[in-house]
Amino acid sequence: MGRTATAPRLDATLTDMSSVHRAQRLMNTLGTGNADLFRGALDVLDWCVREVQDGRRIGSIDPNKHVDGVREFSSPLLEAARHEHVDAPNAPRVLHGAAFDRVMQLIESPPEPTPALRQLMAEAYAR
Amino acid sequence: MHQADAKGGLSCGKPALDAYFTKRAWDHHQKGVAKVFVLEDLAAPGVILGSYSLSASSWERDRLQGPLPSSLPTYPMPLFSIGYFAVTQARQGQGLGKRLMADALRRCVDAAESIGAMGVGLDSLDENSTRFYAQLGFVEVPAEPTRPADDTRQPMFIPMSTLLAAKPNGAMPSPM
Repeated sequence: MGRTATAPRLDATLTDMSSVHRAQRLMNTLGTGNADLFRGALDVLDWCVREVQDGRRIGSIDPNKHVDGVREFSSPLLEAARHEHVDAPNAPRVLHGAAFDRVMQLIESPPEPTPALRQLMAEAYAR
Repeated sequence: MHQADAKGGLSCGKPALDAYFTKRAWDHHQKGVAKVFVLEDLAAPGVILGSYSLSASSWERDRLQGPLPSSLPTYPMPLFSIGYFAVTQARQGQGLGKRLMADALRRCVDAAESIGAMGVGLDSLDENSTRFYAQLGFVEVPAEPTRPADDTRQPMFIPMSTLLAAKPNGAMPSPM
């Protein structure tokens, strides 16, 4: 008997009416069915997660207002992806203006070592 | 660190640090995401008293907040990052944290001979830790104002110049 290859199938059930209504509204707006809606949502979420894991943030920009018109997007799923990223010990960090300025100030005018640091380093190099 | 160290676990009283040590530290160490160093109890081989991770990282300024002042660099700032710094609960307050930190900072200073790094950064998880790091010269960096309420990490930083100035005169880098 011959074998017939079947594509893997993924079923999902939305149980809350709010999500059902949003999905129906989007299908009406976009003129698509369930599968296309899911593919589109997958494309967007996949891209967002990869961007967040790359240390970036998701937002929209008003082309007439440039940086002042940025609206940032966040969701529990993206926050989970972001935490997985930022909790990595080598994760690059984006500092807000005052924090970065403080770090640069310290680099430009480094403080003298504290007595405790001098003692610690002396012990470190004595070993 | 060795694979067996993770199996023995570490109990420092902070679940996030303990979980990292057991579940991810060896994986990160092996893959080179970070190098994880442990302090082993010489009287009880295999018992881990403390641990920390060390990695190369970078900090940069948030560009969504507007254009950078021309006096600031536009590139990410390279630094060494100390992470998951932990001493087992039963041995806290006995100077083991200082021994671990001495080891970590010496490695940073020695590595800075060969690798560009403008300083050392870490996250303090509580006030006691912040006092410990501040005593050594780490400076608190203002935390992200929009961070989640449950994120209480306090970023701290010390410039490499300050560490180099604390190095004893004539001290040689560790053999590589």
